[in-house]
Amino acid sequence: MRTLSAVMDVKNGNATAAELAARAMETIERKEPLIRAFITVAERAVEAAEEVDRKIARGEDAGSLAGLPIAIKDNISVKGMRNTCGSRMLANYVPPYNATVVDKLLAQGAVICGKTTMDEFAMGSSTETCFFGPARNPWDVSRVPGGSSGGSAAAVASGEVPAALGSDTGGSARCPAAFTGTVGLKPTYGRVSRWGLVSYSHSLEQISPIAPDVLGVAALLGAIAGSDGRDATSAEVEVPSYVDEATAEPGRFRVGVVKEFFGEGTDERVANLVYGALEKVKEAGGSLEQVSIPCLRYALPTYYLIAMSECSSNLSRFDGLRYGFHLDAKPNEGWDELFSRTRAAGFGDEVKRRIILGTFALSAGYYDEWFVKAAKVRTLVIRDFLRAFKSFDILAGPTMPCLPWKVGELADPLSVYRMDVDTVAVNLAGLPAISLPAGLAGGLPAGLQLIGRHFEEPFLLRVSYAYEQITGFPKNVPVS
Amino acid sequence: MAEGSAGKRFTVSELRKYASLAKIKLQSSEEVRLASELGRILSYFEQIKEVDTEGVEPTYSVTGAVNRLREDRPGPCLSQDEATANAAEKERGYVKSPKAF
Repeated sequence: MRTLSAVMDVKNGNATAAELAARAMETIERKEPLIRAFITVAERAVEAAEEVDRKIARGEDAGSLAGLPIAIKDNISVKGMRNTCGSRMLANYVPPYNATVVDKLLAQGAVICGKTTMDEFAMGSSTETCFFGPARNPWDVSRVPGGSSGGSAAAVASGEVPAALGSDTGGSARCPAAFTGTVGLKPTYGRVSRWGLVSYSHSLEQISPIAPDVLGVAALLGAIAGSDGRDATSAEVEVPSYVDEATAEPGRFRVGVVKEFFGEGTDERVANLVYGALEKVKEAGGSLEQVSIPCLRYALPTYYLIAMSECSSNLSRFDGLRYGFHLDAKPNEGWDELFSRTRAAGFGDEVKRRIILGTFALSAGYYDEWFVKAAKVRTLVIRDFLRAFKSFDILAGPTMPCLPWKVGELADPLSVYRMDVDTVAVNLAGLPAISLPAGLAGGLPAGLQLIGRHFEEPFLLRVSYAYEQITGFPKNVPVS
Repeated sequence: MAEGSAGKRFTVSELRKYASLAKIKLQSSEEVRLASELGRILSYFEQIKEVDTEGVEPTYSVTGAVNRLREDRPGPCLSQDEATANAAEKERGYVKSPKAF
């Protein structure tokens, strides 16, 4: 079900919010044994929806998303609902407050159905690093749904809920959108408040909507965007009606097809689907021209060095004392030993790898050689993007270089990192980017990635919506 | 920088040093595997050293925003009970820590 159809049904009285919530909970119950999109299912979703119905019955403004069942990635705080981040470290942690985006969604009448499966602390591209086990791809349950927001995308693709929030640090919303045939929008850095998002790499990440269609992510972005006194990096930039903007004509526009995004290692089937999708973008008014952004070949190591460095600092807060996984101190055991035992037992392998390498890259003697070097290359990546945007309105390529892999197929950490090659540069530059369904190869979805200028989500959404009108997604329904 | 220390390999003793700085007590059974994984990852990262960054300023934040100040005014906040609700060991409303001295 499309996001806005659900909202319209409630608005027009075709369904009550409680009916939508009950239907979502029933679908979740039926599909979860296969999909595993949720770590925690909300116990009181129907009651919350009834409250929305009462508001409507009283003639009050119930909000732009009144009655919309929504799933929230398990690193975004919902008061009173356990927030695990896919980690043993937070397996029993219950936040005493709402993230700003959650407050905003609730103010617009959305109904939270649960918290979704994710790679541990968002470190991964498949949900396979999740302590509670991976989510499954609704198109083929032997395959991964992508990550790290794989549960959110799988919940949307399987029809459990018509909307979800993920987060995107290096592709974590766009990758699972591409792998599940849904739409994932990574907003401009600063567009959405990060207050209440458990921090992994603070200079790169943004909370990101995932929906079956373009108007769905537009409506969600409109609800969650805006400046927030609790996040000093949130931008004081006006929030337009993204739904209205999306439905406006894009006019004629110039698309730069980024050569580096079709590099060595790109699955030919994905490349063919994306070239086909680009022809539709052309029909929507775009002129296509190839552009080379040479610096992009260094984006992947640059991204990982920065993300690991920031994570080593951000995850230092987990000590097992104030909250989270706890071990009892042995007699006469001091802080250092207890913390070190707690963190060793609470974190999984991928998190340990990133914290330790990040600690190394930030340590005296190596700081300039690794962290500062990466921060300088980041400057060059930004410069190259801004130069390309002088000649083009949109940059395009595949979201992922490959189709969804089988659970357990990619065992080596470096081979998983390499799959992020087309998504990470956008985070380094803080640009907005969207993944749109590009079609199926062998029954598996691939994604078309479109990148816009800073804060030009309205134009990015216009082009995306025009593309959607031509291709007609979401018509395909996954098998499960 | 000495070859083999920063670049191509990550020795077990280096691994121990940085794990200890990160307050993660590794099992001896995982040390060899982790050191080799991290060594391979670092070798891959090495390619950024090819990039000429002479005279390039580093980017730590893309917003360009500098200190955003506000008036220091008390506002609503968590109660002591809420703030300590997730702590495993408490005493009289405080979080209990291991011995500091």
